[in-house]
Amino acid sequence: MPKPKHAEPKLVNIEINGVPLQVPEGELLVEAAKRVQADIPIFCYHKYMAPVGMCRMCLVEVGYKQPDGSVRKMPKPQASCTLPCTEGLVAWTETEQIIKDRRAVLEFLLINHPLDCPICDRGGECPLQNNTQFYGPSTSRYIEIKRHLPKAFPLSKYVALDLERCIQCGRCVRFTEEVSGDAQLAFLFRGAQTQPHTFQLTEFTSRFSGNVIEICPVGALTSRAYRFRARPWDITTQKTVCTMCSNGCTLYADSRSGKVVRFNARENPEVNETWTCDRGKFEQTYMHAPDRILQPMARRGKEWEPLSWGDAYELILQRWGALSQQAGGRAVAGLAGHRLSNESLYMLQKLLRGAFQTNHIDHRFTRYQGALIEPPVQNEYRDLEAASLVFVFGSDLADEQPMVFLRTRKANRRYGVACIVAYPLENAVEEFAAHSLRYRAGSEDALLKGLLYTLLDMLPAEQAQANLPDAAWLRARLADCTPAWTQDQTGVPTETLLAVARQIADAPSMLILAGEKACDHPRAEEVIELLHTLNRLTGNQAREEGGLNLMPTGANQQGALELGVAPHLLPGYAPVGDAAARERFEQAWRVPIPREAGLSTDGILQACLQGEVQMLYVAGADPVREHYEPSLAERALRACEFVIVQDVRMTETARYADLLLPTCPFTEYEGTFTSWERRVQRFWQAHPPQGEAKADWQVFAELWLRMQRQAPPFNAGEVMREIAALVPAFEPCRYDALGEYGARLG
Amino acid sequence: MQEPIIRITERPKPPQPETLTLRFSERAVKELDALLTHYPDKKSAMLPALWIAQREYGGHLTADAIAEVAYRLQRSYAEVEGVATFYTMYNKTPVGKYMLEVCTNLSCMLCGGYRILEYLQQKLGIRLGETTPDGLFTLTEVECLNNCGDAPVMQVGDIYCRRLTPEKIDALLEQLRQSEEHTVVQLADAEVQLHLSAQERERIQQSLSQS
Repeated sequence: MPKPKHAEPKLVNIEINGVPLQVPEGELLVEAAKRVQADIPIFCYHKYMAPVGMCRMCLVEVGYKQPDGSVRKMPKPQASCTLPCTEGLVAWTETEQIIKDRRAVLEFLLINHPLDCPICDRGGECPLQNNTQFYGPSTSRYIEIKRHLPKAFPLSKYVALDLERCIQCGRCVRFTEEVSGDAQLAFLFRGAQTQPHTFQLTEFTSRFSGNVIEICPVGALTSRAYRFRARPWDITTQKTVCTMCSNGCTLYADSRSGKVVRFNARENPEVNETWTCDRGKFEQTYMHAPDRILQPMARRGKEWEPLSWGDAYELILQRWGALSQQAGGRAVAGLAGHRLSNESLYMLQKLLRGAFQTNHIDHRFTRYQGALIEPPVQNEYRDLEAASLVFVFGSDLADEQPMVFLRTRKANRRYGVACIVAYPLENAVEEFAAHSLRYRAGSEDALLKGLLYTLLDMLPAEQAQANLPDAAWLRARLADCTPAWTQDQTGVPTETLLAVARQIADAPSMLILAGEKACDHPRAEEVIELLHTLNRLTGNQAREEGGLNLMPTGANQQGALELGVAPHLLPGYAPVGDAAARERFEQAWRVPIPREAGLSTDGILQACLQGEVQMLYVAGADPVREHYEPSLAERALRACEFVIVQDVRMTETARYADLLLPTCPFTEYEGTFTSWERRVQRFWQAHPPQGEAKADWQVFAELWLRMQRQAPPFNAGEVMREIAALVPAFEPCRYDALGEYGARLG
Repeated sequence: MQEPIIRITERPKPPQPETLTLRFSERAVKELDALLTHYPDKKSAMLPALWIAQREYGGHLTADAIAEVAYRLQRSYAEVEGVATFYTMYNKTPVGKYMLEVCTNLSCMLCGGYRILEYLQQKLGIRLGETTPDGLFTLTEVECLNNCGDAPVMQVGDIYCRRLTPEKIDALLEQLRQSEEHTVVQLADAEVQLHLSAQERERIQQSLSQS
């Protein structure tokens, strides 16, 4: 549903190539022309950036209808990328004059452009090449010497710059200025010498540098990792979703002979528009890591002994057979990673709860492992633009949530959404934030207490009472958290605190983005409780565009919570203790489910140490690296009698495994991920699995078959169908209903 | 996605704000503060700020000068560098004390602008764009100086030398050699003063003499 902030625009009547149509007032002509399939060639225009009209490629003839019905033509052709549609506009995109003009523009652009297309990475997918083919002259009249400039200049680890090819469209310069905000690229010199460059040719250090490669309409900016790896016509492109963080950016995985050679952004107006971060674009290479696990292996002393899948399952069943006689399900536990698909997570908890009779299952490795009963996120990307204030708490947003950062920045620039950031260190949000609270690390709780104290003072008493019935109790609890005390505890000056509180009190709605510093705080329970109080006190709990979001960090961490990979929750946030909910799942799975809530991650690891948990199933997780206390994880894994590690590659944790099972990374199977905003998006298989790797859900399904003698699901779509039948929120996520841009839960 | 084919040549990192050496004098800082009050945002003060920098850094804009302007205006380094390299009157390389800017546009060319240029090159023993070894003169060719009636024309600092002849040039060079002035810096200063209002100039003068 569109949020109410941006009112429905007025429609105006225009005419393009003789076709009358209605478009929203102010829509750019170049966009309006797409509605009637009138093809206007462009170079400098980009849908998600402000138009500049630099390249003159999109010239069209334009006129306006006069009151007497005649059309008065403008004397010169107009750039359609800078022309907003108004009532009575008439445009012609294919007249003889325009065809001539386009030829002329292209002839100029090609004067200095080297014709090295055969060795150019862009060749085959190059807007300049395409436009020349369709609209350009077939020969050049230019016989002088072309401009010569450095070739393949390494601008950074990821980006190479080929200045000769540059046509000065300014897309890259505008991107760094408008979208990523670091303005690290600028045009140097003037006239024919104009060239985009960094300051003094220093490194291009932007977090979003990879985008300039994609938006460059020629081969001037190319990816160093992809350079000369493949040609556009011998790669297969498949739609996928990024797994580097929880932002759920949609990508294209381009692979050549079974290897992914690059990731490009896939447009999704609800999520990443057309952007990616460098981590997602360049650092996502683990599917071709040299330490991939390629077949099931069992530990024999110090050696790994290769097994067949059948023998591996047999080994698990043997172990379980012995265990179930003595301790039963209490002695089994599971830890899930955040890169597993929704289907895999569902099957994992089904396997553990149904077959292994245990609720000891978790996916959280931060200090906050509380018993959540509702989604920890309230908002979606769109809300960032609809809210009046975004409060970034304890998060280095640009690093933890790159796409949320870009969208927040856009909300601030384009819609004037105010921003407040609280983080102990310098961070990128400060660039546009109204206030920055740099508190002493670890004093998150004190800062929140001080803020709540001040807010209780500032908000009208009735309002506070209405929003928070126990306001009086809170007042008593925070009696000594005065601004002076807060300054003493956190180092945040009193004036700043008061100004921030004033802004929060006055804001019609506030959206809180709470990051790692909140969820990984030693007193995380308290910090999160205080955040909830702040959310309720300001009345944002009930608002659609405001709310509190405890941002997950892992790709499908949110999905794990939705699908019951938590000791106290069944899929769909149904408490394990709830007999009715349990019965629903018991009937569907045709097995009883243990009644008591299980142990959380810390509990499981402790239980391993004490020998209570004797079989640990680690699927896609790496507790040794991810757990906040690696030594605890390490000792627990060493103590546990039988550790099954199911992963893509040899992780730290895999070294403690007794049985290793190879699984597919996200490019090798299909499924869905749930992003932080509870958006479920599909990804497809980009290339065949390596070795004997299987998709996680398939391994769980095969085990389920062996243990329960029930027909297993045959593909991921069937698993999703089973989920949708049991959890109403997942109803729109059935594969046949799930659209290009995914669907939000609930 | 293996290792890139290109040999990795690490680019230097852009300077961190903490590591900048700020060289603006007290007067320059006061002038910049006054200039900033003229505009709605700091970005707009970029051109006069670059003139201040050109004066403070002795006649040309070094990388440090550009970085300092960017730091003081809270803009990115690249943006300021882009502006500085766009305009020809900001010098990006070291120049002599006197910039000899000879016009060779239409009127001056017809009246012997190129002969004047030739003469200067021989007399000073340098080519276009070069600086004499003693660091006094830099010879450049410029487009129309808007003084066609008195062609050929040459600009030195903020003075115009009109109807040039070899004799006049000899005399002028001799005079400049004797002089203590630094016309390049003077020109930058004149530009800065031009941007400030009379009251601002006075106030800055006063506060400097007091302290």
